[in-house]
Amino acid sequence: MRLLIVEDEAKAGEYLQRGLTEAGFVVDWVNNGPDGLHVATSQQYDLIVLDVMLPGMDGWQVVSALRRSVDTPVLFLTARDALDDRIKGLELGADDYLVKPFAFAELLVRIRTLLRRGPLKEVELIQVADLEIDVPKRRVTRGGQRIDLTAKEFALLHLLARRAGQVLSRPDIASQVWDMNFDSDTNVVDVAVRRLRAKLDEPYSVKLIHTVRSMGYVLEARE
Amino acid sequence: MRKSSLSLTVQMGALLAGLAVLVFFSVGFYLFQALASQLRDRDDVELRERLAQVQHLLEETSNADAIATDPHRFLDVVEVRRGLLLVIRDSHGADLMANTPDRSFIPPQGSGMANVRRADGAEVRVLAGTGRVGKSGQQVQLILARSDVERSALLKAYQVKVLSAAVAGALLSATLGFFLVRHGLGKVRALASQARQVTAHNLAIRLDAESAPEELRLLADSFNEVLERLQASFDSLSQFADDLAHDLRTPLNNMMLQTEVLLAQPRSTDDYQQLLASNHEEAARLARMVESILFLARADHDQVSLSTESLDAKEELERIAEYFEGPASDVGVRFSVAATGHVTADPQLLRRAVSNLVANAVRYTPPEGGIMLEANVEGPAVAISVTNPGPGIDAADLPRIFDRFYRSDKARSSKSSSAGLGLAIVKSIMALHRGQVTVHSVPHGLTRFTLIFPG
Repeated sequence: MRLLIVEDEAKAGEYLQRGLTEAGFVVDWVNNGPDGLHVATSQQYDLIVLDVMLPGMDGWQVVSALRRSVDTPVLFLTARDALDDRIKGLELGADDYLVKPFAFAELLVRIRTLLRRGPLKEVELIQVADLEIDVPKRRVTRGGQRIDLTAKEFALLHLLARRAGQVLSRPDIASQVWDMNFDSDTNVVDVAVRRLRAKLDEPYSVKLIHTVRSMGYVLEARE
Repeated sequence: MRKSSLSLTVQMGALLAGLAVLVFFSVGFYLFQALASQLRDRDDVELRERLAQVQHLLEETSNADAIATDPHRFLDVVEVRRGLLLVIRDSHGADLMANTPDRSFIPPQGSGMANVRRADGAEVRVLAGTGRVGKSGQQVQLILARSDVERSALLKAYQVKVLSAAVAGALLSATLGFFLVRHGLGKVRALASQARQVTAHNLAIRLDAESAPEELRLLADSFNEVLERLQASFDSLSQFADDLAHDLRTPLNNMMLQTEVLLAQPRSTDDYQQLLASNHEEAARLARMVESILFLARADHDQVSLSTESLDAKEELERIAEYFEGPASDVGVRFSVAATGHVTADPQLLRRAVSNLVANAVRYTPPEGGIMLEANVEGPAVAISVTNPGPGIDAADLPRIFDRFYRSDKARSSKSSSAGLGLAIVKSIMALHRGQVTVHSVPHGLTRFTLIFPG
């Protein structure tokens, strides 16, 4: 998958390119509006990450010029998140926007969602190492042993397993599991993860849920 | 918007001058007319007296011919005063005597008082009558006239005097009036110069309402009230900027300090990972703070769009209790929910407001304590309350706990970034819903926050 980043700030551009390359994308980076428009129309990309405040030509001008010939998905990055700005971006043909500062994990999720094109079919059986989750039946087993979870514990595990290998931030988890869409500094998520671990990981030698310091949690089988 | 560029002093001075001119000239006109009519009346009386004298002389005259031969007796009567004219004619209209060659003032017929215009244009007061001559009883016509020359001169002189007096009076009144107005408006100028001293750095100045005249006191009082409110907002804004800078400094300082120390010499990969993670934590804290401040700023300007819906109060409170159940049970705190009715609110904002209250409640409730979440329908409004036992809030702190960055513990534990903004956000959310938040706290008893959503 080829991505184009149009971002004038050197630090942000460099690290976006690096992070997205490490996440498995082929990434080009240009640092101004006219170059962005030129490259985006002359080459093939699967998705464009576009900053709003750009020298030469701002992100809005780029996207409206781009939309005359190309329908590559565009994800806006903006430090301005007044409602009008967001509506303007979407009306001009952007597919999504992300307000700075954002978590890199969040950007990855948005990019993957846009690239997926169409809803992902709900997987009925999720397997990670010896963990098996039968989603319709809400049955969880490890090594064939049944593990009883509460509704919220199941929702949390389902989220982590569905995104196995991806780091999920605490606000992301709070939003998906409890529908609390604001960043509060309570330790609700940590307590919930701790309880889930007590049932899912503690009795077993291979641990599946890992803490990524300061970032959040990830479920994966590590060597 | 400036309707008139003329100062109040000039406007009032001009009004006073106009009034003075009007009054003086009216009075002058009245006096002039009164004098003129009095003079005319006196002249008429004199004419009648002279006529009677002439009639009396005629009675003493033997016959009509004697009038022409000896006119002096008659002339004596009329020549005591200048301007008196006398013509005596017989019944056929032939002159018997006259002290003037002019005949143009003689009215064509009849008797009595009349105004007649002479050939030379002068107005003449004429009294015509008849008389009988002595023993013969012969009837003669008497025409007595008074030319206005003398009276006109008198009145003319008087007119000039009255006119100059009126002009002088009007000028004097206008000038005095102008200075009086200026003096009177001096109070206004004094207030204005006091008001001019008020600047952003000098908001403590108040207008001296006590010494202002009654009419201006209301204005001065309202102006002082405006200053009062301005100063309060200004102070809280300055305080806010102060606190904001302080709260931004702490995480920035952490990041700079640990980064500098670690970069000073080569470290293990583990050290670098720890540093980056720690920096990320601090950055996340800053991001949360910025988000909260932006939210508050937008809420202040009503730029947060509400998508309200009717929410089942019990369902919402149970959801929040469930959300906090983990951390609460860690410290041995239980929730109880007692709720009825539906509340009209933006679901995300309602959850945010109640969550901020519950997060505080969990923080301050002692182990084995219980937090009550309640919702009651009160008329059209719905009251949602969060009650917890604990140390309580000092009465002195109560009015200020909803202020931004206000923390009752001055130690400023900055472990949690939203502490200090949490209650301010609750207040803003309630303001957005046109509702309110109240607090009631008993030291070492129950603390209850109540959110009132209007119907």
